[in-house]
Amino acid sequence: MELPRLQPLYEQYKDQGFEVVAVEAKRDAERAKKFIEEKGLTYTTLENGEDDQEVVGSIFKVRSFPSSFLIDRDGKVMYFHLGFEAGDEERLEDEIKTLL
Amino acid sequence: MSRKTTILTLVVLVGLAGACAKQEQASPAEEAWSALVEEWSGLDTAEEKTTLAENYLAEFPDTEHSGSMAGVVVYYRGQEMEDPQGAYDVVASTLEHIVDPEQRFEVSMELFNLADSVEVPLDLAQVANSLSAHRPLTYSEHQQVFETAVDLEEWMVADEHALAALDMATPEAYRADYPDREFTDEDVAERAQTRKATALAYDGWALYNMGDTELAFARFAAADEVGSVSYLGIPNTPLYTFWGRAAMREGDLDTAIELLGAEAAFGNDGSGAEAFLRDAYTAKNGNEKGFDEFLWATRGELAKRVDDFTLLDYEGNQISLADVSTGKVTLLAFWFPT
Repeated sequence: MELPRLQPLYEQYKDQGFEVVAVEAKRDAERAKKFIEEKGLTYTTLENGEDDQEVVGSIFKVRSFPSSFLIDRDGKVMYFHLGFEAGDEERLEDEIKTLL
Repeated sequence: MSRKTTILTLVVLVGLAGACAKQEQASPAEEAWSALVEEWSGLDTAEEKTTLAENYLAEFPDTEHSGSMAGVVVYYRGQEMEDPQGAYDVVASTLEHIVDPEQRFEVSMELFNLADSVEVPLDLAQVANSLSAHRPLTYSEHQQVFETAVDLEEWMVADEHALAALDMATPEAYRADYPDREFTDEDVAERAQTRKATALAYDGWALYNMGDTELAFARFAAADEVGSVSYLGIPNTPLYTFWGRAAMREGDLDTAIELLGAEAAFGNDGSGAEAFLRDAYTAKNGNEKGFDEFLWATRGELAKRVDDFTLLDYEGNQISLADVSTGKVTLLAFWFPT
């Protein structure tokens, strides 16, 4: 899911206990910060670590971007989404509403 | 449409990102390309992106960027703007101006992505052979051919290219494909395993459709044994979709439901597993009553607890996933700026 498309979902559901955590995989901090600012993203944005602090590939085995995991209130991963195509938001929103 | 399109789109964007790094050339085509890359990041709509790519192709049809720009047109005009015929016309007329065999291959393969909606009067085997007459295909090119062949139900082409790809499913072949990049042994081993599992899964499905049931199931089992799985523990190939569909056609509904259930549990990955699972469920139970509950229960059984981690935010604070997500519904998104 493209990051800016998550912002309206975040604003709509955050009061019901919805959170977004976006991890920038390639440690391109300069462009990442510019993008986050330009697009007005207000949810949690983190930078991937280096070497043994690296999490995107080593823990989550993510090689293609954007990739997202939806986690329920008990910390279980309930949905995975790769890429972004027209209509993806509706499906994601349904999944979020089901879990909330 | 499909996993393939999603992945191609990602490749397009990665291509754009990669292109930012080199800025030494000063040919008009490269200058126009640098300007395009600069402008791209500020664009929001499919129309704007399409226009940018189409203008570039009209002026510079035969460059190293033809394939990725054709991909942009196919994705944004063909899919997002729902104008596949228009996308076909633009890309097909670009193809007429391309001499370079690699670009002819890339652009032709983009046209096949439109084959669901428009007639694509190209011969897949011939497209592949034109490039292989020039140089051996890479693994990725074989993969593009066998994935497209499966979409087009050209099973012998799929079988031929899946077998060729299987030969290249080694750490050595992986490194040889990316001579400029450094990988750890562990990384390369894992990627070679993914290649192997992918080629075996596709070859199994091609063989099954060619009527060689026994060898097909042997291929599926071999792919499973490779054990190339995602974070969620599900194969990161369409193995369970192919295997489950084959089991269903053989009348083994329990196996079909188990395999398709695992593939469909965590959402639509582009392989269409959920629709096939629904068919298998309906065949077993006589109707589809309770299907949604069944899918939900399957997900609950297979779901794993997320691993916690700690990373820095852009103010330099250490933030752990648990800090922000405990007790909440959380979308954990991985991205990079393009």
